[in-house]
Amino acid sequence: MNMERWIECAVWPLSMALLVWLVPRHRRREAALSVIFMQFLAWIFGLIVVELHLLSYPVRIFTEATRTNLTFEYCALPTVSAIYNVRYPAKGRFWLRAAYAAAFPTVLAAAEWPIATYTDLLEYERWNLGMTWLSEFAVLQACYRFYKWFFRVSASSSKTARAKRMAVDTTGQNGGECQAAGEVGDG
Amino acid sequence: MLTEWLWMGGSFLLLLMLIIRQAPFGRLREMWTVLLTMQGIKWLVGALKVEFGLEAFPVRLFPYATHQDFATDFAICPCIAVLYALLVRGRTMRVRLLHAACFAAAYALWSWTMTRWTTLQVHLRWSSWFDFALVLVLLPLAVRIAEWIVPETRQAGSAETRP
Repeated sequence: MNMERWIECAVWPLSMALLVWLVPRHRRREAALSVIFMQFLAWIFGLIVVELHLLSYPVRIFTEATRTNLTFEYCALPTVSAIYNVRYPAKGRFWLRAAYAAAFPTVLAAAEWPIATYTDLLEYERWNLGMTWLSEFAVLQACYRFYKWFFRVSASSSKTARAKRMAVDTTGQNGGECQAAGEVGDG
Repeated sequence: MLTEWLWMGGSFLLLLMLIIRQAPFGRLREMWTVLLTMQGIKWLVGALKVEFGLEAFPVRLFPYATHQDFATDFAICPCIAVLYALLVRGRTMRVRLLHAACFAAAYALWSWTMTRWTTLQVHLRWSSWFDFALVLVLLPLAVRIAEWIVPETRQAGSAETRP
């Protein structure tokens, strides 16, 4: 097995291990939602960049089914996004949040450079590292915005506040989504 | 080609109208979860079907980038799952399975019609019965996973379980 295959095979268990290691047990659901939302974004954007001949993936899994890189779009990027969302310093100062938001695409772009240069896993056609950084920054931000909307995360929120809100939600006292849904369900 | 796009576009619009008619705004999160879960599953299943030469899709979106049926896997099936989730919420397992069978039958008929009258899909080592079985399994699975991700949706429904 050549180096490209080794890398692709290693990404899947490595992603699982990172999820288990870096996502606390009580936040697995939040991580799961981040994973599926990022898959949604990665699927469509991955197809667009390949369709427009911006990038190509000469060595990949499912060579007959697709020209996109399923390992990166289905597994690696969603895993990174889940960790990004779960570990985001929502209560931190602006500079901390900015540094955090910049660090993830920087690390991803730094990891991508040797892959594009020394392996056949990725080839830039009309693409460059700057575009990688920008696109990854954009999709991570989009995923975090969705995550915030979904779980109603705000800068003032804390674990206690979230726990209280969930307790109120489940007992149906806040007249929010559960109650509205319950009314429709009964109808 | 026009027939193919009218078929696909018309199916999507019909599903969208049904969802809008059925769905209350307050259940947007639940619908998103089911939609995304089904997309994630169908992406993998669709890729496997093409990879193993079970089906081919001569007319498709993103013809260079993929050989799988992006429109069905990305939009049609997830919309069907959302509609199914809206109808079975808070129901017993037996009713859920009955609904799943009806949805799977409707999907299989839709898929058969598509294969028979359009060039969107060609069955190589596949049949509409497999479509029926696949959707019968995937619909309850997607809803189950979505209920795990957003547990309050199940709790709100199970408080007053309907027959």
